[in-house]
Amino acid sequence: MLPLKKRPSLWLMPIFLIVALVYLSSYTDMDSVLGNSPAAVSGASTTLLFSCLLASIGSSLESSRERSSRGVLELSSRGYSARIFDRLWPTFLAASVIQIVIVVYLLVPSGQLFEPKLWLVVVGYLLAILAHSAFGYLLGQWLPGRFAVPLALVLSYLFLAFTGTSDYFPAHYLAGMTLNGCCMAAQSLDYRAVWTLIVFSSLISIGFLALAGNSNPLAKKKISGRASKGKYALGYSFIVFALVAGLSISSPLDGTPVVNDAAEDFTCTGHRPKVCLNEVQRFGGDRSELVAQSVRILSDLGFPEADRVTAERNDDAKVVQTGVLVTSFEPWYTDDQAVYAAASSYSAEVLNHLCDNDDYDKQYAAFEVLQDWSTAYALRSVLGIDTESSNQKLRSMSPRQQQDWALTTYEQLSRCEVPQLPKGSK
Amino acid sequence: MILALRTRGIVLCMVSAVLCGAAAGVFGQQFIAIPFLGSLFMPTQMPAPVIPALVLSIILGASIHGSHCHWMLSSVRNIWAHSMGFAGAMLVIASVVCALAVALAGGGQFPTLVFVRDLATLMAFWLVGILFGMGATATVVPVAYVAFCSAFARSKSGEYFPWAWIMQPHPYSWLGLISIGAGIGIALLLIKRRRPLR
Repeated sequence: MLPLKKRPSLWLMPIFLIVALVYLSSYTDMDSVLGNSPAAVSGASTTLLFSCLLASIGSSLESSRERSSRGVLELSSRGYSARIFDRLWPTFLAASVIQIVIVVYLLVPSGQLFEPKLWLVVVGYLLAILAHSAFGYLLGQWLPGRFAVPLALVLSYLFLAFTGTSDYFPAHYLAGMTLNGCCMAAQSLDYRAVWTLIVFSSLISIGFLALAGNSNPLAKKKISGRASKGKYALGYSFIVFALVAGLSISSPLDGTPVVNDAAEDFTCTGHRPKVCLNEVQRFGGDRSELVAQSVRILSDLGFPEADRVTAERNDDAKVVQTGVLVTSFEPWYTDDQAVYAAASSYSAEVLNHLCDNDDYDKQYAAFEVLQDWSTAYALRSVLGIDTESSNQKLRSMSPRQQQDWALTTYEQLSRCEVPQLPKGSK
Repeated sequence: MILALRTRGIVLCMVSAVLCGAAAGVFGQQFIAIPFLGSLFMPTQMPAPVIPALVLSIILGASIHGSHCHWMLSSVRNIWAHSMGFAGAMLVIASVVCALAVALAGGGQFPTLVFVRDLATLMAFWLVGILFGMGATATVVPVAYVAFCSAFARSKSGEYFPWAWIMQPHPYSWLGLISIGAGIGIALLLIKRRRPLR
């Protein structure tokens, strides 16, 4: 066995780990994982850029060393799988340690335990690392080290960075980094994205390793260390199969790997109105009374009474028809953010149903003023925060006139009419 | 002469220079978005010429390194001078092809200037690796720089850091020019010393 100091991945690992941690601490908003372990574990997919690049460069270095040290008639007493294992384990281990440390790093601030189903995501990460290791190994066997090492790095980088920008959404999920689109509090991870990563990575790893070589040293030397024709066919078949299988699984998915939580996942409390929040949204304390109060003070003014206020992701619901008012709620909201979100539910609803016509811009301008006024009114009434609408003309009206304007505007927007802005405002 | 060119992989390098130059010219006006990296609020966009410049710098660096054997250190001919001349010639060929492609595609001057700047700076990074004895793995340095820039190029407010000039769509960057100057300096040093620092 080679001494550990000659295994490049093991001494490259601390460098890559530090870079990954610096990246996360610089650019990741830890609030977004609060109370949400799927978001934490999926968010770790961002650092696949670092762990997979380490896997790729480490295995290509090891493989190119093996290639350059191979004798003319060298006989191998060990099987191919044993040789592959000996070459790849340090790289795979080092990259896996980075990825698992990042998962733990994000899971700790989430304050949640690791859900058993999330093991699948971790398995997906490990298989992605294996695929990049196998790719680096393949390049190291096929090309001299001076070409193999930088090309392994650049091709792994291009695959990781650019699959997510394709216009063809199913391709986004092959590299795994798009998993970090998961999840708002009212959403769950769509496991089809994870299965895409698992199936694609495992099949393509087999394809790369089959292409990388075989256990016949003479055949290996005759064709510059490449596989026999049968192994070629097997390797290419697995690569094509990996692409077809991966894209088939991810074909129903769109831009983000999430599914909206079903109504049954929300627990309703209180009355007039009932407020329905899910487990993640209740993390760190139940503030449903604050939400109820914010909605109630607007319905007391004449806005439609809601039987139920829910923080589901449902853009279709209309409070007038169903009695359900949709709001947004994240566990990291402060009290004033919670009130703001609840109070903007009425205006958000009309925004979701704005008519697509020539007056859209005028309607949108009215929506902005309505949202501004209703949130300011709720913040003042519920939390006593001294704030007013930023619209000067509206502010100059009496409180009664302001309320009348807001109600009329809401009703007109609900009917696809163009409301009058407060006189003199643009 | 023929041997000197053949040992440096003239065919591979010529074909690569023409293809990469043409690709940089044709796609020179485009940007490639890198999702979720570089900023919380907006994705980093990379000018398309970066990719052909990166690929060409790898191929040139690896081909030139492949032509340097240990026994050549005692050669009467200045192998390093030949190699630097070869790299310069390839850079010129790629730039001319890029300029022609831009002219045919009807673009402005920016894609050619961006491509020349990127290729020259990435070759300068390769020379830094060579100077410090990285040998065959010196071509990792330009790749690592591009990958690092794509992750860390922007501040949280979305502005580019000055050191990540390669992500900027215009060729005006003092740090870029300084890097090219440093690359020329290192090339002259290697020609003079005929060996890396270690």
